[in-house]
Parts: sequence; structure tokens; C-alpha cells
Amino acid sequence: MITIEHLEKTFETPKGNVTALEEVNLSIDHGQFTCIVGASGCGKSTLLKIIGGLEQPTVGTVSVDQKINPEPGQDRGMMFQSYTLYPWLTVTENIEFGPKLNGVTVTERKSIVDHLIRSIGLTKFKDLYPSSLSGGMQQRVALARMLANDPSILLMDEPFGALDAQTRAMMQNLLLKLWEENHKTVLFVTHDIDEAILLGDVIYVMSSHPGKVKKRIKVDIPRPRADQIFSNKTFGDLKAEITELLFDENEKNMNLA
Amino acid sequence: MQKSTVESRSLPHETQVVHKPKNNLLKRYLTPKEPIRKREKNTLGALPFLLILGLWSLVTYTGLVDELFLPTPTGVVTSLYEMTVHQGFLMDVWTSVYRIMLGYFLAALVAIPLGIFMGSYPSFRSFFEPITGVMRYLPVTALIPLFILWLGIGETQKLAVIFFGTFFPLVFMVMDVSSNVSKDLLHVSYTLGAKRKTVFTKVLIPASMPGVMDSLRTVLGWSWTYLVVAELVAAQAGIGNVIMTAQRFMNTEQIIAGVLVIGALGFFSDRIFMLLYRKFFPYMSTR
Repeated sequence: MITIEHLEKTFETPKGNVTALEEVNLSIDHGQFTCIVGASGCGKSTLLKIIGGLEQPTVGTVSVDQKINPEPGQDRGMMFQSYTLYPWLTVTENIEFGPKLNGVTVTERKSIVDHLIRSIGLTKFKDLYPSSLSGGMQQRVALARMLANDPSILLMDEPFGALDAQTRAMMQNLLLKLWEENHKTVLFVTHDIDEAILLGDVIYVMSSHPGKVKKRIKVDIPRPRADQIFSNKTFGDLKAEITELLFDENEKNMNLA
Repeated sequence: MQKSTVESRSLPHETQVVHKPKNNLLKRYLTPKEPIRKREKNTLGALPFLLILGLWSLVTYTGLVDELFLPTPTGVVTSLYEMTVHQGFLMDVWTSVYRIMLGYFLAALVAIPLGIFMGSYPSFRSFFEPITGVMRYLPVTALIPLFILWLGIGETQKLAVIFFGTFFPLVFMVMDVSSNVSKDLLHVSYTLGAKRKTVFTKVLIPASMPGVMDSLRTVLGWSWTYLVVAELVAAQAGIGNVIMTAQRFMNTEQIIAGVLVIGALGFFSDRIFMLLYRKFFPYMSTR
């Protein structure tokens, strides 16, 4: 369970203070898949980093399972848009990096890694270095590396943003499949409205400059979901609604500039 | 629509022509980023050597240039043979190589950790950057009189020149390398359960290593310059000393032989670094 109250984050820049997040309040239930959409500059990545403990809030609190403003830890796995595999480690070594740090025994590690490599379909590539993998494969390994620690919360910052459309669709299905097995709490930041509706139980639409929660939208589309939801009536309605909310934001930003 | 169909039908013989890809060398060589064959690459690389040798032979064997200014290639080779067999030139080479290895090794020993710390911790950087930034603009050559005054004209003075000549560039290059390690890489490590110290030892350091190796390779090239500078002043042995002595006797052949040997040694040390790089960092793809 994640509760965020009166969160505010200000950055000092040479041009003065910039408020990235202002008066953010949200609560995320255990096992819920939450998507956050917003135009660039709405502080969605900052929000994720604060929950991950990588940034500290200026005002307000984030509580994760009763811990207030926690340090980073392996209970909250994180994935980024940029490729963050360790280039000097093989696929296997990348995946076991977390468990190895946390003192998991060799035999246990092996079974964790074997299982994960199989579920991301990269058994044939297990001894290769990241430099010889495609972007999609690298993100699959990053997903497995995050899951290897068995975190209860997954923080995903536009993880599929740099991938081509087909690879992205495949990654979304893989993520949904894995999520339906373990129902971890997921916070998924994206600017892709289709992706948010396909994946999320709840979508927070954020406004920018400063970043605020504009609307909380519940996605009432039954699971398991797959590509056919794109022709679903609810899907169309939600997409229209979110598009309009974001369009207003873009208008506002244009006028600001 | 209709017209074009008719046209294409009226030209059936056109499709019969097999268009051979034209092997237009000039066009291929002048296309940006267009790869060339390995054999072509080697040939092109060897060409300047041959051109210089050819030009050199032309102006010397014909007597176009006085032998005092530029001796013949055979003269230089003979001289090199004489030096090696009768004048203990190999000992001079070894003395120089040893000085480089020691001075450069000591510089690397201090510069690499300092550079990594400066690139990783803004606190270290704030402390060291201004002072090293000023010191690296002090010309080492201008400091030689002071080195002689303080350290004498022995080995220490020579090592000091090489050390200070290579230390400062190395610190800054290594600092850049480690400050360019992506912050996301560090962030992801924290979320995998790494603590601050482990992020430094298990992520920042290995992530910096290929770049550190690159910096070492570049700076090694420069260390030869400082070696010769150090040996031009008050040396009893070494390639620089041989060149200096040869100058006194107007022995141009020996001067050129010495210069060529330095060039060859530099080239080989660079090759060794390249091979080590491939061996240590097999995961770096495009090399």
C-alpha cells in the first residue's frame, strides 16, 4: 500500500526554484496496476523516483507499507526508459545481480535466474553481453533483473518508451502475463494513452507546470486484456476522455510558451 | 495511370537489361560512412609510409638534398645497426622504456583513483578541480629548471617530468569518464538493494574501466614527448640523450634513427593497449 500526502517537490535551478510536483495526494492499493499519464514536465518521473527513495520530497510524505519517505530498497524494483543493464555482465549475471547482493545462495539464485530467463524467452541468449542484444531484449532482461529480487512494488518509468511498436506490444503482453501470475503493485509511467488503458486498473492523469493530479480514472475493462480491447467501447470512451484532458494541458503549455 | 501502363508495356526490352552494380571506386571512397574492404583499408594505410619512403629516397639518393640535412634511408638503417651492435643502443632504449613505465605507472597509480573519485563525488570534485585545473596549465617544460634545482639531474628529475606531464591530463580524462556513468545505472542499482559503497565498487568502477583504459592509451602517447624532453636535459643514457649527443656531432643519421625508434615504440605500445582493451572488455561491441 502506497500513500502519498501533500507531496511537493521543488528543484533549485540557476534560474530559480522550479516546482515539479505540487499537492499530490494519492493512494495505491496492494496489487493494483496504476498508470500515470501526463505531458512532459508533469513530474511523473520525479514522483516515481520519490516513491523509489531516489529523491526526497520537499514537503509532504510518501509512505510505503507504513515506512515514511523510505530509502531505496529491494522491496521497490525499478525500471527505466534508458537501457540500464550492466554492460560488463552477461544476461545471467545481470539478472542475478540483485539476489547476489542480497545474499541469496548460489543454488537458489540459479533456480530464480533459470525461471526468469525462461519466462522472458531468452534462454538461448543467457551468456551474451547486453551489447549484442536488441533494445527489446535488453528491456526484457531489465524486467527479469527487477523481478529477480521479488519486490512487492514495481516502479516503471516509461520502460517501453524507446521500443518500436511491435516490440512494445510484445513487452506489454509479457508484462501483463507476468503480472497476472503474481499481482504485484505496479506504478507505470507512460505518455502513451493506449498503453495506460491496456495495462492499468487505475489511471492518474497529471497536469504539468507544476505537476498535479488532474483526474483519477478507473479502467472498467475485464481481464485478461489483450489486443482486442482496442475495439472495446469503454476503451474508446476512456481514450477520448484522457486525450481531451491532456489536450487541455498541451493548450495551456503552448500559451505559457 | 492508363498511359504509364501502356508505356511500360511498350518497353519490354528494358527489363531484360541486367544492371550490374558499378564498381566505381571513386564514388565509393567519397561516400560518407561507406565501409570499405579490409584489404583496401590496409593498402590505404600503408600507402603514406611508402610515399614518404619513396620521396625520401628520391631526394637523398639523387643528391638533391645534402646528406648533412637528410641522410639516405640505407644510411639510417646502417647507422641503427651500428648503434645497436657497437654502441649499446638497446641499453638506451631500455633506459627510456623503463623511465616511461615507472613515471607513467606512478602517475596512473595516483591519477586513476583520484579521477574516479572526482568524477563520482561532487565533494571531491569541488575540492580538487580548481587546484588541478590551475596546475595542469603550468608547462612542465618550464618547470624543468626547478626540478633540476630541487631534484638534481638524476633519475628522479626525469621521472618527475614524465609524472607531471602525464598526471594532470590523466586525472581530467578519468574524471570525465566516471562522471559520464549514467545516473540511471546508479539509480537502478540502489533499487536492486545496493548500498552507497557497493554502488561505487560494483557499478561505478567497472562502468568506468573501459574509458579509463582509453585515457591511459591516449596519455601513454604523450608520455614519450615528456620522456624526450626530460632526456634532452642532462641525461647520461636514453634515446633522448642519444639524439642530443648525435646533434652535437652533426650525426643526422643517428638523430633520425632515434626518432624512428621512438615512433616505432609508441606505435607498438599503442597496439599492446588495443589488444589489452579487447581482452579485458570483450563486451564493448564496436572496436
